[in-house]
Amino acid sequence: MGTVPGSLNAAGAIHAEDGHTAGREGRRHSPRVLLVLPTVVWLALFFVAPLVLMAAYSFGTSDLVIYTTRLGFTLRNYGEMGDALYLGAILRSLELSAVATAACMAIALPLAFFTVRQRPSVQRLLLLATIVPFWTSFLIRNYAWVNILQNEGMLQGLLHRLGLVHGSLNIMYSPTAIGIGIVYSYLPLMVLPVYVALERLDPAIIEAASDLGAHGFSLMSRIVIPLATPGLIAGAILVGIPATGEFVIPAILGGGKTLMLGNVIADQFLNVGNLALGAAMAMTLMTFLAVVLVLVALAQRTRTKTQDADRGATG
Amino acid sequence: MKTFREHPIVSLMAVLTLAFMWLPLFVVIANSLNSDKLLAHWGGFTLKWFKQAAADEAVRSGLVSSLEVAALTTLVSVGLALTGVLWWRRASKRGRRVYDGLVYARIILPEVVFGMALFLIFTRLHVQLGVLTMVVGHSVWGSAFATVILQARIRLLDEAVEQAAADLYATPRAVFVKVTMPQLGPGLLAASVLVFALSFDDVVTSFFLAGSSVNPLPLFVFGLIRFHVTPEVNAIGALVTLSMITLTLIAVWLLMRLFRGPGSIAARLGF
Repeated sequence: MGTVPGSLNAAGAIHAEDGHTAGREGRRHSPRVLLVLPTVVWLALFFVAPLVLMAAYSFGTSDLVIYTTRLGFTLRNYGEMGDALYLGAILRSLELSAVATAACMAIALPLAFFTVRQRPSVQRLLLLATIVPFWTSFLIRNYAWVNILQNEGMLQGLLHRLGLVHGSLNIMYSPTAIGIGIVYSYLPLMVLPVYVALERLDPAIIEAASDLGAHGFSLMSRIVIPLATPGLIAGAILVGIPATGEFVIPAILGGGKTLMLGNVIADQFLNVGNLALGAAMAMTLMTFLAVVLVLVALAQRTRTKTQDADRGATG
Repeated sequence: MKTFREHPIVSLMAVLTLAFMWLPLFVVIANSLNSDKLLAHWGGFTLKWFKQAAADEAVRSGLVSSLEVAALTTLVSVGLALTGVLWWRRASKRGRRVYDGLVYARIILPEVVFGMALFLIFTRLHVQLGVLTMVVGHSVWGSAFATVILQARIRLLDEAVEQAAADLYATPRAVFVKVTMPQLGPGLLAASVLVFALSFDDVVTSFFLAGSSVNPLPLFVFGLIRFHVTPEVNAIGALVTLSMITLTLIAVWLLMRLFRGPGSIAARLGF
């Protein structure tokens, strides 16, 4: 939070210099900074302070009998996470999130590409069709999958009728069901950035590639995917990061059998009362995600630099 | 002439993907009218689940507290976002970067993490959990989403118009009230609708911050779902789904009108 006040002063100073409108009314010192004050106070109290306190808790000790946490400095909570139950949940979260993100990429790309190729009015309709389900109740949409996936449910009925499967399906309450739920819930967050990346490029490139004989798979792998990469990366962040901490989807579709890190954290809070351990897990999750973000940002910076260098060399 | 032909597999996959996105919504609505208690087969048309849901006291009080939380959250979030964005507009590059970073962080940080963090600070300070603590929690991310929409809108404002008004001796207050605000209006409405919908639907933040005295609708439904499938959930779900689709259509329609041209909507929503 240390940089915020500094930047506010800088902003205030700059405004005073350009104070065209304010200056005219003799309000050169009009406190523009006051505008951002509510946000600064709100975030300091309810965003930064809680996270700092959580960091402190993660080094504290929870007394499970009297339900209190003493602050202090111990690494025991972090050590306890090596326990097979917790380690399993952490690895499962990473795996499910990675697989679901990859699946989202594979599914979103054709839809985004298809959308970009339509007339503007159709594009608008397709985007609407992509966004609307996303803003509709997250909880209810995932619950709908219980109806579809459960034994005796719709999918099993359909597959039985087609004669593809006999007996029970046993998808519900498994990691597969959670994976389906994550892909389903986060898909629009992949489609939109990929769409935006593809929309910015000149349709003539695709025409040219297709004139030169690139079709189907080679068109996708050599032209469309490389051009969609910035969108795919943005989408991977928007999908992969929240999915790693997902808590509602595994609770509904995993049925409490298949745990993800989010459930284990919530469980410390709800049942066990080991807040220090829960805080340590949340800190680990947050730190891990921050590291991933920094790595992605660095990779992107290198990529842009190389591209600039290439452009410099050819031009 | 168009030399490129749509690849049939790409088109097929796109259509199947859209079907995949919409199918569960139809399932919920269909099952809310299905009289088969196990929902395994179509057992005939019924409205009894709706009656059962409407008669349930927990559903009614849950709905009231959810509406209360969503309305207050919208007010706080849009207020914070509006003042913040008006500052951001003319802020220094570094100020903007910090501000944008905080917006981004609030959007992608898993809710479990700061739901828990807020719970810790509230209990530490002996703050009674309830409607107000939920509003605080929802507003942390609600204001971030509202900010993204307002930023998109404010980038399109022509400063020259405000400048002209000022040159014609409009006071700063008059410029703001008569020029800036009317142009921001639809953006504010779109932001409000989306924040309201998100808050109304929230499970995770509320899970940590509701306390034992309040049980907002999504938490009530979440409780039902976790233990068994009840047809009543489909009825609540169908009503929630239909009203949220309506709200979203309004918001997206507003956004599309604001940003004319399909590409810019998504782009300016920050994707």
